[in-house]
Amino acid sequence: MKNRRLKDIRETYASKYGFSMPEKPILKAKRGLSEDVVRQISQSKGEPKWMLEYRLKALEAFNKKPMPMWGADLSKIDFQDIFYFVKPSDEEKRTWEDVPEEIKITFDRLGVPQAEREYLAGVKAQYDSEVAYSSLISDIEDKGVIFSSTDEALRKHPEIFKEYFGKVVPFADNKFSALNSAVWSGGSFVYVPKGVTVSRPLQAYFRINAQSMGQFERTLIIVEEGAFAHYVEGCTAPVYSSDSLHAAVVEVIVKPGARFRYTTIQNWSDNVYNLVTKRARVEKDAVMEWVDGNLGSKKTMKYPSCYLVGEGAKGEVLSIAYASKGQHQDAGGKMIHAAPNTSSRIISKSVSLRGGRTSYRGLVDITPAAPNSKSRVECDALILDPLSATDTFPTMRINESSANVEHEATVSKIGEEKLFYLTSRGLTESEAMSLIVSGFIEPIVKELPMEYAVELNRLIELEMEGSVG
Amino acid sequence: MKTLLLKEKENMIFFPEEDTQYVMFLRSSSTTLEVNFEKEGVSCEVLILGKIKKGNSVVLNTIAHHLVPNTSCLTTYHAVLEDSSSSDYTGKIIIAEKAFQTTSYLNNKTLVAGENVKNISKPELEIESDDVKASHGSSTGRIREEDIFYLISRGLSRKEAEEIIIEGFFENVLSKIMDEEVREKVRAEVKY
Amino acid sequence: MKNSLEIENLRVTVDEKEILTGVDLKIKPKEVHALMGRNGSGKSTLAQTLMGNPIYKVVEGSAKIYGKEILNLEPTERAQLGLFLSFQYPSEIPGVRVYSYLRMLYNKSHEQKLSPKMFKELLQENMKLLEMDDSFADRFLNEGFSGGEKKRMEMLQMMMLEPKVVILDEVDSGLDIDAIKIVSKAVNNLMERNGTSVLLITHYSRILNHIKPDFVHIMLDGKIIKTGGEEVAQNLEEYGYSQAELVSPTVKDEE
Repeated sequence: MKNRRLKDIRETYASKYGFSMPEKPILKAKRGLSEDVVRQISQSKGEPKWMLEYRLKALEAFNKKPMPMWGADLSKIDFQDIFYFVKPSDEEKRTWEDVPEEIKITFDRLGVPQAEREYLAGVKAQYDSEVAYSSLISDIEDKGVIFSSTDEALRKHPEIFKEYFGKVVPFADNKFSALNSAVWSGGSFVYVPKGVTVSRPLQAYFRINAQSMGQFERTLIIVEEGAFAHYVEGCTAPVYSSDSLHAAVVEVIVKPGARFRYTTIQNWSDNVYNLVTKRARVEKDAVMEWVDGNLGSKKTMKYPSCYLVGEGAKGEVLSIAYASKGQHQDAGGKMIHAAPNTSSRIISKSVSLRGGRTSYRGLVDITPAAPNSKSRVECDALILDPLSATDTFPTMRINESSANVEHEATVSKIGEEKLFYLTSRGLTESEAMSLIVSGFIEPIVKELPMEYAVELNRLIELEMEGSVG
Repeated sequence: MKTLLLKEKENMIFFPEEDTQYVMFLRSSSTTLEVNFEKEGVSCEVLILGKIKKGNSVVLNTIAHHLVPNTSCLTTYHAVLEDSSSSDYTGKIIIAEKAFQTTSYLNNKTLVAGENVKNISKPELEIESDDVKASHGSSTGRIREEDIFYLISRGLSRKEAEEIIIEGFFENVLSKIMDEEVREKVRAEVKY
Repeated sequence: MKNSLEIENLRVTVDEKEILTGVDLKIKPKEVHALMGRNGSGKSTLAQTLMGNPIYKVVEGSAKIYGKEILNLEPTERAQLGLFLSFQYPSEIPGVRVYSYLRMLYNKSHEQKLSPKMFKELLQENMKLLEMDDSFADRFLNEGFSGGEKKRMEMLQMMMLEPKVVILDEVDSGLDIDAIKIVSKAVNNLMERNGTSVLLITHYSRILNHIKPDFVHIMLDGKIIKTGGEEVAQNLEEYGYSQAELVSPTVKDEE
């Protein structure tokens, strides 16, 4: 084995994504978590009383719940060192011209307006605690599709909101769903009416700018019978020496015969704790697909879930985890089969290098209510150097005799013979290695729209130094 | 390679000095079997067969812990679950830092041959070294109706067909047992 | 005229065992040299060593392509100098599509870049020559390919790279006569338009009916022990290796 030093895109993160703008919030709650802060958030949004009460109950649950003792090491999080609410502007704008200058510059540098012009149906751009820019192409709006910030949905569509909010992920589900439920702000609300197909992706971009910031967006998506949509989110943050916290909750309801795809390309800076609860309720003959790319953050704990509650429902998680220096990606997926003839699939591909660690953690639960269900899980881990590590922690819980459940996992490194084969055709070792890694994640990348696929392949490009014999 | 036939009991820890096959037949018990590889070049197989009869339950933990370079382990657990039985299996492969050129595989297959069964399968990998080959697989499924039909169409009764399929399911593991005496002992248990 | 490939006193070990015990060979531009010998005589070791496989350790000797020493170069650099090895056992690279891979190879090996349309035409032309179906372009590199498909894939890469010196390591093994004709057509086509020279490693003389050798060498115990014209291969066919080896010991090829 040759002695190589790997370089990757994380080393240039600071200049590409890790920049910051001067903080010019119009409201910033004082540092730390308290009932006062929760009340201040609710008051600043002019929320109904039930929401304030909900937040306060969630805060209580958060305080009572212990930190998870499994998964990534979260012992360094200091909840009193975080800013829980930083309001960037007075309201969400409909044109980029109206967006405050430093926010506009940020999203320009990240390429959001350009992507919007080229291939998106609508955009939400969240900056710190709230959505600063919002758009939806008019013919989709005319079909009755709602794509707004979650704050705005609470004001404008209170009935739908109250019917679904907190139903898929109860606030007491886990410590971080409780935290989110107490201090949530921003996030996307998507409502796709019966039978409507939204063919171009709806995109949300989450940007943390402030230092020691906690971003707690809350996303609620309802896809009515027979409808289809594809939602994509991206996230980045400045590189700071102090830690930031991102604890989102995403709830998705996929009604009978509908299909929904939720794609995440998470590229937080290496000082962000990313602790997210994502769950979908999948009804009769509906299909839910999570495409989950975790490339950034210091520690991620995230296991997108499908509750397959209707007969014939299908769930899928396609997960890519990439852990470089100082990163631990604890990611995976959960499939709860709670109706007959349901099926699920989880494919996980992870790459660890330069001392990073990836952990696949998953659950397939076939309940007694789910006869004739099947599930297939494939986890492949690639370790690129001796410093790095990987784990696989799947659980298959089968309480139904007719279930068919399969799980396979492999761990491997890049074979020298493959590198030699490709270098003998004139590729450099860096090119050969990048090519093999991109081939390794291809089964997931091919599911992405072209623009995102290109982006993802760029994010995992590798370089090698000092390749001496 | 020597073959050891183990009795099901609570806790067993081994530090193999030479290539060894550990064979165990399970009916109803709570068992932990840990194999620690602390001698380079050692290669082991852990072969466990479980025939879990009506109302019985098995809790099984296996650990293949590779601490030094160039060791290999193959862990196989095949279980048949009859009516109202359960199996709760956790199978760990741990490869420590610097345990280069480890090969470790784990395979858990559960054949459901009754109603009201419970099966938990947790195959786990913890890998701290890059120059290794490790994988695990787990599958749970009922006896396939088409297989039963095929055998019935050749004149077997349903019960005979099921028995043959179960025997065949175990045969994959039995055939790996090198010591003939041990193999035949376990084969007799399986048939019982 | 410079030799396109010149090997002098090449000694190579694998796992500290000496496999090549002093190989000398000179190939001029446009020449075809066949290298024959039993299994384990060192033919594949020679091929892999020339390409720079790190498993093979050079103890002594030199190998030059058009006068430039290559033994101290990385495989990438040797390929860039125009050396190509058709692997006996090509690697499978999952997830990497043949089309985009070949495009990458082409762009790296040619200064003149082609538009996507022109590239596609060139690729199709070469695939047609090799009687490969268009659908190959969408498959993953060598993944799930049959032995014969892998050999054609090697030839397709060769055609796209247009190397100056080609080593074919048992390109004919496992191929039927029709497939051998197709592979030979590709090699002859490349020699004609590109002035490529060929080192053809094989067990069987039948491919020599389609790729005409200027010289035939026989290798034994890591050395070339006999060199001659086509008749050497003929003798081999008739008398087998032991006889051929007996005919004359250690004949070096002439200057």
